[in-house]
Amino acid sequence: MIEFKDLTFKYADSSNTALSNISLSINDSEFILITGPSGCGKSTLCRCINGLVPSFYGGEICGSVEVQNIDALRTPTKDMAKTVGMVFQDPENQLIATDVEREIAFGLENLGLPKTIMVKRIEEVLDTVGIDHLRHRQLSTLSGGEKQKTAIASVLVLHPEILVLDEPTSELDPKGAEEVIQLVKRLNEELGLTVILVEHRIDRVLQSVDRLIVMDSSEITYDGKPRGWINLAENKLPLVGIPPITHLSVELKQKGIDTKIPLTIKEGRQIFSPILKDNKWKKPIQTHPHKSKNITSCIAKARKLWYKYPDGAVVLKDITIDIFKGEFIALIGRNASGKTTLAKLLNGLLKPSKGKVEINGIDTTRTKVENLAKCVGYVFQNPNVHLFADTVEEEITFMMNNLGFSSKMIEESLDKELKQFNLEYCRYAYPRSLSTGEKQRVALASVLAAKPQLLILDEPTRGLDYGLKKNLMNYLIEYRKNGGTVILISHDIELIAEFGERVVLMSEGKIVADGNKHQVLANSLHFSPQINRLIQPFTKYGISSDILTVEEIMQGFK
Amino acid sequence: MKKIHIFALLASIITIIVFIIISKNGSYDTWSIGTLLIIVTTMGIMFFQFEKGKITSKEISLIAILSGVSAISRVPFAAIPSVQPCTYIIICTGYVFGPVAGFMVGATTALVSNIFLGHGPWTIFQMFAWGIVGVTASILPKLKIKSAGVIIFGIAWGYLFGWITNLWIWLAYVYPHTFSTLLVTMGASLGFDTLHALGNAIFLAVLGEKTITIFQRYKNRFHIKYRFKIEKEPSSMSDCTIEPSNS
Amino acid sequence: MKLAYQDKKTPVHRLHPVCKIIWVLAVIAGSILINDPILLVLLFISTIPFVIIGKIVKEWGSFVKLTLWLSIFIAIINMLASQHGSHILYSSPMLPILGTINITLESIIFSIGMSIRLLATISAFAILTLTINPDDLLQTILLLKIPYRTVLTTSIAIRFIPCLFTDLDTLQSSLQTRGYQMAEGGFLTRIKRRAIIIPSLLSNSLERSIQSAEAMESRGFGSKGGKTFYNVIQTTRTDYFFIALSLSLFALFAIMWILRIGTYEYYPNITPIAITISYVSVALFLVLSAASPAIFSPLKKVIDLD
Repeated sequence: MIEFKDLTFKYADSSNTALSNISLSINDSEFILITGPSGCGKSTLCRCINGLVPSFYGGEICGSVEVQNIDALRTPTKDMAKTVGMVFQDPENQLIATDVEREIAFGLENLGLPKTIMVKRIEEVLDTVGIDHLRHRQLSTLSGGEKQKTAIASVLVLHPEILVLDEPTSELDPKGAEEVIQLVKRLNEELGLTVILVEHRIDRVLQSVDRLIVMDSSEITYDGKPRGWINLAENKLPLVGIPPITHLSVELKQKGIDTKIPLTIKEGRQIFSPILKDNKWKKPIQTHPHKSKNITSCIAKARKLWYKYPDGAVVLKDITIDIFKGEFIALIGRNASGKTTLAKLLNGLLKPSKGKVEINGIDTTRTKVENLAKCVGYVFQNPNVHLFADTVEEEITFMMNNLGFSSKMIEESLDKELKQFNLEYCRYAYPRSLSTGEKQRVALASVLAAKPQLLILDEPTRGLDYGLKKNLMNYLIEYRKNGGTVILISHDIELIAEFGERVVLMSEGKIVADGNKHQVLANSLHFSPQINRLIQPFTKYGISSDILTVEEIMQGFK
Repeated sequence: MKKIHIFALLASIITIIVFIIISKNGSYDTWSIGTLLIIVTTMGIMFFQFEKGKITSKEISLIAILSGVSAISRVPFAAIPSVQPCTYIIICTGYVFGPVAGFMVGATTALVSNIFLGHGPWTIFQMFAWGIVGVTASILPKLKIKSAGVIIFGIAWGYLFGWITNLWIWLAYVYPHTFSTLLVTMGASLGFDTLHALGNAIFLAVLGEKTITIFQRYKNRFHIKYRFKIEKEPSSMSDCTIEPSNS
Repeated sequence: MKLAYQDKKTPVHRLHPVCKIIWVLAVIAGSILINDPILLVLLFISTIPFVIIGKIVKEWGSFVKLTLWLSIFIAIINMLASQHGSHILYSSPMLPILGTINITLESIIFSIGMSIRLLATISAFAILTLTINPDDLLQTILLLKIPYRTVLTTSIAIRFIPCLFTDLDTLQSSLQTRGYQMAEGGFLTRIKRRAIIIPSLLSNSLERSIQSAEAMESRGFGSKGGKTFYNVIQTTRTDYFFIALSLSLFALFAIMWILRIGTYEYYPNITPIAITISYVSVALFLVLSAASPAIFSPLKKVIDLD
C-alpha cells in the first residue's frame, strides 16, 4: 500500500513546484501506468516512493508519503531498498559492476546477506528474469534490452514488494522495449508485485495495466481505468499520444459514431468490424507512387557501397541509393541493420570500404567531414553531444563561425533561428541547464543555422514525448518548405506513417525496400502501423489496403 | 580532533621513527627506504581517509567517473607526446571537491589508464604523483589563488610530476643514491616534463575556469538540504530543517 | 581503447589470479633483491614460458621494446652520474657546472645489469597486465576486506570506460559534422582546438555519475551493518597448489637475500663471477621454481577434471 497525502515538492534549484497537492493511494499488486509530457513531475513522483526525493536531491517538501507503513520521506533510500525496487531510464548508468552476476550480487552485498542466501537468490532471479544465459557476460557486451533486464534482476533480487520503473524503455530499440515490457507484465501477474511504470509510449502497455495516471504540470489530471481517460480528456489527447487504434474511436465519436474503446488490434477489429464492413467508404484513396526525378537534382548518391568496420564486421553490402533534393526519407530497419552506418557514410564521417559516395558531386573520400558540413547537417540522438558553448547564442553561432560565415550573415541567421525555434527567452542561458525539449531545439537550431541542403537525424525522437515529437516534425516540415532535404533514422513507425514520404527499409546491411511509405509500410508484418494492420481484413469492403493513419482512414469516411 | 587526523598523525610519527632507526643503521640505503616510506605513508593516510571517512554513493560515483574521463582523455591527445589533460582535470577536481576526491581521482586515473596502457613499476609512482597533485590543488582556493596562480601551479606540477615518476628509475636502477645522481635522473626527462608543463598551462588557461564552474555547479547539487514545511504558508517554512545523514 | 587484457583461454589465463599476482610480486621482489647479472638473466628467461603458453608474445614484445628505450635512458644516467669504478674508459674535459665526467667500465657493466633487472621486472608486469582480468584482480584485492571503497571506485571507473569512449567518439563526430577543424594549425592551436571536447565530456559524465549514484543508493549502498561479499572466483584444490608454488618463490628469494646469494658488487671493481657447483644449483633451482607455475599450468585442467 502506497499512500501520498497532499504532497507538494519543489527542487532546491528551481522556482516551480515539481509536484503539487498530490494525493494518491496505490494498492498491493496493482499495475499502474503513469504518463504525461516531459517535465510533468512523473519522475519526481516515482522518486518519492523510495525516498530519493527528498534525501538524494534536496528541496522543500510538504505532505506525506507512506510506503508499506514506512514514512518514505524520512527514511534514507538505502533503507527502502528491501521494500521498493527502482529501475531507471538509462540502462547504461544504473549498472556499476562489470559482469551480470556481480551486478546482481551488489545489492545483496550492501544488505549484508550471508553467502548461502546470496547464491540461492541470484540463481532464482536469473531464472525469473530469464537471463541465466547472460550470467557471466561482460555488461559492455550486452544490448540495451539485456542491460535493462539485468537492472530489473538486480533490484528484484532484494525481494522488494514494489517495483518502480522510470521510463525503462525510452532508450531501447523496439525489440528490447517489448522484452522489458513483457517481463514487467509477467512479474506483476506471476509474482503479484506492485508495478509502477512511467512511460511515454503507452500503446504497448495500456491494455495490461489496472490503472492509468496522467500527469500534467506537476498535477495528476486523471487517475482511473485506462479506457475511461480517453472519454474524459479529449483536449489532453494530443499531448500524450494515444495509440492510433484508440484515436480512431475518438475520431469516429466526433462523427457521431459511438463505439467501445479498443486498446489492441484484436479489440479494434471486433469493435470496428460493423463500421468498416459498412459501405460508407469512398473508393480507395489514391497513393502517391515514387516518381523518379531528374538526376540533376540529386544531392547525395551512393554507388555499390560496402562498409567494413576495423574489427572485420561487414555492415553495408552493395548499397546503391540516390537522394534527391527536397525529399523526406525515413530510414528504417531492425537494430544493427546498417542504418546509422549508412547515414555516417552519407556525411563523410565514415569513408566507404568499397564503392563511392558523392555529395553534390564531391567524392567523400576526397574531402574531410569538416568541409562537407556545409552541405550536410547531422543531428545526433542525444542533444547533449551538440552542446559545447556557454550560452544558447554561442551554441547556435558555433557552426557558422566554424564554416567562416560573415558576421552579418551570422547575426541575421541567429535572430531568425532564435525566433523560429522559440529560444529568444533563453538566449543567454547555459544550454545544459535547459529542459530536454529546449536542448533538442538548440541542437536542431545550431545545425540548421548553417543552412545545410541535407539534414540527417539519427533517431531524434527516441525518448521524446508526443508533444516534443510533433514539434520536431513541424520544424522539419518548415525546413523542407525552404528547400531542405531530410533523412530520418527512426524506429517510430507511427511517426513515419504520419509524416514520412519515401521510406527505405534496411536489413542486414542491404536495402530491401525503397519507395513511397504506402508501398513499403503497408502489408508488412513487422513494420506496418496499427491502422494498416486493423484494416487488412476489410479491404474487400472497399477500404484501400495501403491506408496507414487515422487521418487517411477518416478522409475516406463519407 | 577527528579520528582520521589522529591516524594521520600517528602514521607520520611512526614513519619518522622507523626512518630514524633505519638511517642510524648504516647497512641500509636510507634514501630509497626514506622515499618509499614517504610514498607508502602518504598514500596510506589518503586511502584510509577515503575508506573510513564520510563518503556517500555520490562521491564514489563522481570519483569513479572523473577518473574514467581523466584516463581516456589521454586518447585524443595521443599524437602529442606528454601533453594530456589528466593533470589539469585532477587539479580542477582537487580545487573544487577537496583533497580526498583530488587524491582518489589522481590515484585511480593512474591505476585505470594503466590497465589499458600497461602496468609497470611506474604505476605506483604515478598514483602517488597524481594523487598529490589533487591534494595540493585543494589548498589553492584556501589561499585564494585564482586563474594565473593556478596556471603557474600547473606548470610547476608538470615538472614535479616528472621528477616523482622518475624516482622509480633512480631507486632501483641507478647507483649510488646521492643527490647528484638524483639530479641527473630528474633532469633526464626535462624535455618531456616541459611539454607536460606547457600542456597543463594551456589546458588550465583555456578550460580551467570553465571546468571549475562545471564542477562547482555539480557540487552545489551535492550539498543538499531539504526541509519539511508543516503548513503551506511560507511563513512557517523553516519549521523543521533536516540535514540528511549522507551529506 | 581496448583492455590490454584479452581472455585468450590458455592455461596461463586459467591460472588463479591470486597465484599469478603472488608470482608477479615475487618476481619483482626477486629482481630487486638479486643484482647478479647472470641470475637476473635467468630470472628473465624463466618468465618467458608464461609468455609462450599464454600466447601473448606480440603484446609482450611491445613492453620489451619499451624496456630497450628505458635501458638507454638508465645507461646514460648511470654513466653520467656515477663517478665510481676504477676502470676509467673516457675522461671528459672540464665542463661548466658538471665538472669532469669519467665514464667507467664498471658503470657500463652496471647499466647492463640494471637493464636486465628492468627487463625481468617489466616482463613480470607485462604478464600481470596481459593475463589477469582487471576485474578478478580487484576482486582478489577485495578478499583482504580492507579497501572496499577503493576497489569499488576503480571497478566503476573501468566499467564506464567503454561508454565514456563512445561518448568521446560521438562528441568528436559531432564537432566534425559541425565543420570544426580539429587537426589544424600549429602545436598550440591544435591542443587548444582539441581541448574544447573535454568540458563537454566532463558535463555528460557528471550527469552519468548522478544517475549511477542514484542507482547505487536505491540498491542499499551504504546500509548500516556488515557488508558481505559474493566472490565469484572459484578456488579449487589445484589452485591452492599453484598458489603455494608461487609463494615458495618468495621464500626462495628471501633465503637468497639473507644468505647474500645473488648479490654482486659492481663497484668499485668488477670481478668475474665464480661458477661453482652451488652457484649452478641455485641458478637451476631459481629458473625451475620461477617458471614452474607456467610450465605446470596445462596440467591444471587435467587435474581439475579428475
